[in-house]
Amino acid sequence: MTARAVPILLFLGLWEIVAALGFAPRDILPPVHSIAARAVALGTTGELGPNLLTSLGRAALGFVLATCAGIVLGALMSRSRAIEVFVNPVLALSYPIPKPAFFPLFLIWLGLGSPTHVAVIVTGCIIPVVISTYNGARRVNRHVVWTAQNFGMGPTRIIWRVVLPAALPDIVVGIRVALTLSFDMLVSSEMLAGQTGLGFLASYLGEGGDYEGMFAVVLMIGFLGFFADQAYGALSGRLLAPYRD
Amino acid sequence: MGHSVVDSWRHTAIRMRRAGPAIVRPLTPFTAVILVWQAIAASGAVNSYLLPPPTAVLSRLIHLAATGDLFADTALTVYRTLAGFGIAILVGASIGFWMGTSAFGEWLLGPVVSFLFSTPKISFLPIFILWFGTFDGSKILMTAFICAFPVISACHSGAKDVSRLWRWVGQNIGMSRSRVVRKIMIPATLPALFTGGAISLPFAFIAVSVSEMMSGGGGLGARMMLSARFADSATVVAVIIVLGAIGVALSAALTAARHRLLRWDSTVDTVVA
Repeated sequence: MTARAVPILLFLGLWEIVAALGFAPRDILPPVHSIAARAVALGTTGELGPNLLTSLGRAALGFVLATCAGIVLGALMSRSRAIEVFVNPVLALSYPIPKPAFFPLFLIWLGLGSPTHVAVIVTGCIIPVVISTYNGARRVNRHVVWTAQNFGMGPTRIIWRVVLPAALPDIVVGIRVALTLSFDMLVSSEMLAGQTGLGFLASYLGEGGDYEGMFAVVLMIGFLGFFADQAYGALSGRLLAPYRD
Repeated sequence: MGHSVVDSWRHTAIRMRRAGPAIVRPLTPFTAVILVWQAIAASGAVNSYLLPPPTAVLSRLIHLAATGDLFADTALTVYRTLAGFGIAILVGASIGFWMGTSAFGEWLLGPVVSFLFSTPKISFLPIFILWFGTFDGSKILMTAFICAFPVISACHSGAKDVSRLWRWVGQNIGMSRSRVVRKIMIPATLPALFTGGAISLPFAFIAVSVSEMMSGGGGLGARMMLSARFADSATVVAVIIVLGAIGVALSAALTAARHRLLRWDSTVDTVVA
């Protein structure tokens, strides 16, 4: 970990030297120390806190909704031919559409505010979860399912106790993709319209000429996404520990 | 004579019935969705502003095509997508190849790439607009930046996994260092490059549409935002459909290119999605 931090510190040092010695104009590349100072100032003036909480709430809600709905849909698709025949083409059709393109439509439907942002996040995140759950559940050993049926388990119980646990390694991968996408969707939709959230704050500060503030917020969003992914990686490692040989 | 005509009809009918479900089945959900959509819209239960009927979307599509706006916007969006994607392939492949073949390159760039890989890079859009303006520059370079990372990491592992035996064979038959790179290392990394490209192509599309929606300047994304402001939901839905069609066409083109260039590769049929 410490050895891996060396190149990153090198880049930050180079950035600081280039910017502080005036090789790059201050409004193009502010030095690292003034960005850090501005980040602290944004925190103490109360500009950062509420927007941070709003964004995290939207990301969490959209991500959880997409994950739950995606797992249910994927599991149902793997167990029911009728649902599969219906959902598969809809997935294939919506897969190539860039999901932020639904933003204007949600804006018309839901108005300006959190519901629109959450809807964009759910739309963006659900497909990887559905596909990974479906693929994982389809690979479940049939004999295991038959055994469960012979023991008198009902279809719902089989999904919960047999299919989903067996598909967990695939589901975990799909959720990781969804987690990364949730931040992308959150930031894009907040930048596009609205008066709240980190995405709004970054573009608002940039438009107002506060480039140190803009860099601070952009880097903060970057760190949030990175740490969320790291935390998820550690959590999924623990979840999947029983599956390793 | 009459007998054989009846027979041929019956044969055709049987053949139709056999072929029918195979063609009809994947279309049924679409038809069902469109019929339900049209029925709801026509019943007047939902405001046509909230749910424009499919017929309205279709006539808007025809109108946009007739005025030429659709082609101009599509051309601009596709140009930006391909330019950004192309830069990402060139730069990403070079960086990834360097990381995969040089221990120093891997040490220097590995942590930075893995940090940026899992950050929401679209958040850099305000910085790109500050650096490269609101026109094509920021849109294309934002796209290139976002798309470069899957390409970098695919080429990194691809170049690293090239069998040492192949390199040794090349050296033993007297190939020079640059010839080993050109004739062995680069071709052997190509399948990984295509995989990285297939992963990043949808991101190119996301990046272009978001940056067009954000800073305007033409293209399908700008048209959508403008239409949404004028409460023209039929155009919004029409453009979403066009974006989907372009997405399908672009990924089909990439698959076709993979098949053409990598006929020798055993994983050529691997589906990446």
